[in-house]
Amino acid sequence: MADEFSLVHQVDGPVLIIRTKGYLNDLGAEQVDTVCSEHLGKDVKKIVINLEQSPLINSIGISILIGVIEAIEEAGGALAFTNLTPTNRKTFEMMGLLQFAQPFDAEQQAVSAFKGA
Amino acid sequence: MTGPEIDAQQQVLRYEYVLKALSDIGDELCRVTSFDAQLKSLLHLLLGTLGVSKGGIFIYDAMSGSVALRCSWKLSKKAATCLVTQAEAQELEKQNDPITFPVAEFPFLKELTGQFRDDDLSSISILKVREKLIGFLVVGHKLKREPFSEKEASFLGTLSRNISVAINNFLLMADLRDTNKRLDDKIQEVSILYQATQMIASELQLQTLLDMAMSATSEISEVRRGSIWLYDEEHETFALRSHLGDTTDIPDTIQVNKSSICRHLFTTKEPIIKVRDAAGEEPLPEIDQVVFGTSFVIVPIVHQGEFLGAMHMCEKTSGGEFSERDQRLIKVFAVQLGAAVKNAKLYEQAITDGMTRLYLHKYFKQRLFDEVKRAARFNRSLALIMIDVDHFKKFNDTYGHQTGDEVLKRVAAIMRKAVRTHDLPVRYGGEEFALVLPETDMVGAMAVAERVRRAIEMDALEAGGKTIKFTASLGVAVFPDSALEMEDLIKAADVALYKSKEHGRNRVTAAEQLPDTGAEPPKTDS
Repeated sequence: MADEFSLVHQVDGPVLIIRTKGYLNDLGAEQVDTVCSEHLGKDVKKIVINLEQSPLINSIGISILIGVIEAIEEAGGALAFTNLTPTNRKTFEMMGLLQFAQPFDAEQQAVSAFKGA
Repeated sequence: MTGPEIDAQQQVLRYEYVLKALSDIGDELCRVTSFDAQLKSLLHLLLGTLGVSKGGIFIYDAMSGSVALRCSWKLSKKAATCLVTQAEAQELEKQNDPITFPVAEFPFLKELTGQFRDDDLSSISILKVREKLIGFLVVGHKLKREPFSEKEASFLGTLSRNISVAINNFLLMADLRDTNKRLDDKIQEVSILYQATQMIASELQLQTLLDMAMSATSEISEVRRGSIWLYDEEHETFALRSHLGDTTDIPDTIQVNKSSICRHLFTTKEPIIKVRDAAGEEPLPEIDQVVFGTSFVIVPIVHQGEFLGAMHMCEKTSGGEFSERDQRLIKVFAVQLGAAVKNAKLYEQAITDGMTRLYLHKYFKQRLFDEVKRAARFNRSLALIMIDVDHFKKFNDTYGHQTGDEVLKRVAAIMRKAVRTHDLPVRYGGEEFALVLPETDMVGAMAVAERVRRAIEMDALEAGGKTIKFTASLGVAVFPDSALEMEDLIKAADVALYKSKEHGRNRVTAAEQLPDTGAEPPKTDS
């Protein structure tokens, strides 16, 4: 049964951190796109999406994340996914998402990498 | 693993992923959401499966021949339409393989695809189920703007077909839900009407019928205020016969020629529906505004072309206007009411005296018999008041029969005003009247009798330039105090009346109480 999707976000310097909660398998996941669009216009060019609490991602979720990738590419920014399950990592690789976004095992690693860069 | 093995593994993963998407499309159909939410999910499923960043679904409307953008993701426009000719639609419906085309090579909808030039769309697919055109699906490019491989183009075709079926099924189910809802509404309407009609169909007592009809229509159309008027042909007036809500400022009668609404109803026999503050309409005369309000429905009560009266409703409890459903139900009910009112009036004519409009002697006997039985059965009181106009013969001789008749009518009017709905005012004989008062003891009956006597005494007639006064004598008997059988009750009231005459007339006398034998009054079987 799908969990109700929600997310929290915070801005840490130049980095927007999004922590999702619940499955990315329905239109609730569009919140990710909304939050990213809101911040990309305002001095944020680096986004970290922590997917630890979203073990299930289907093609609806992939579609939304592709939209985020396009927006970041247009803004000349960078994107990281953290805490991917092995299955999701394979899917992201197969769909080419990891050619545009870096995978990290933990959120802090991604944030440090983006802050340092 | 070798390169080819890795490729094979990737392919398997890819197929698994696409199969999962097909399964997800099936799941979407089972979700209870809106059509637009379902379309959005289907679009995302497709875009995410192909790895494409933008797309849109257009839906074709066969009735209007238009194609309209119904949902989109990351397209530059959120709305777009164009028309498809019947010939084009037929050609598209025949298209089976391929159904997916590069946008630049698609021979149809040039005007529409031109509106999305900035989006640089890559493909357009025809959405159809068998020979029925559903719409179109457009998609942008993959992330690296690589062209679709042969397999990916095949996936797009398969997914498009599945989406077509999903959309078609959803539209069919939505249609079914709409039809069911309309059917449920109709059943409810018919049921309401049936109950209301059943209630009034067998009621012959006109006042009871009208009160029931008022109650029924207030439930049918959920109103706070209403009235039922019957047309009095003799006086060319509308008489208020039943009402709902506050009638403090409402007259008992309205002259037809003083009210534009009454005039319209009488002459056209057509309903009037007035919406609050309708632009361009002339304001109603004050009498109409006071009686009928500013937003109302009035339907005539007609039977076989004969105008009988009107039923009026205003002030819906919801505060809104009268819907088409309200108007329809009220009109249908009014037709039934017309027949019921006609029957009740015929019955009333059969049992009432034409001049005084009081009940006739024969009907009085039947009713009194029933009332005595009821009072005996339930151990209740029942009062009978006999009334006789004093010196009536002398009246006729002195002033003429016309004046005599006028006196009788005045007395009858006073009696009608004095009674409650279930009381029975009767013309017993020439100048003799009776009042049957169920559930009334001697104290109550004496009070009523005294009120009637005083009202008659205070009344006056103008005839031949003279003011003529008249009085009446009254006798009051009560079951079981004065008598235990119908005939004895009448006799007891008569004896009391005689005593009033003997002791100077223009007075009320109570019948003697039966000696208290301790015996129970006889109970009857029915």
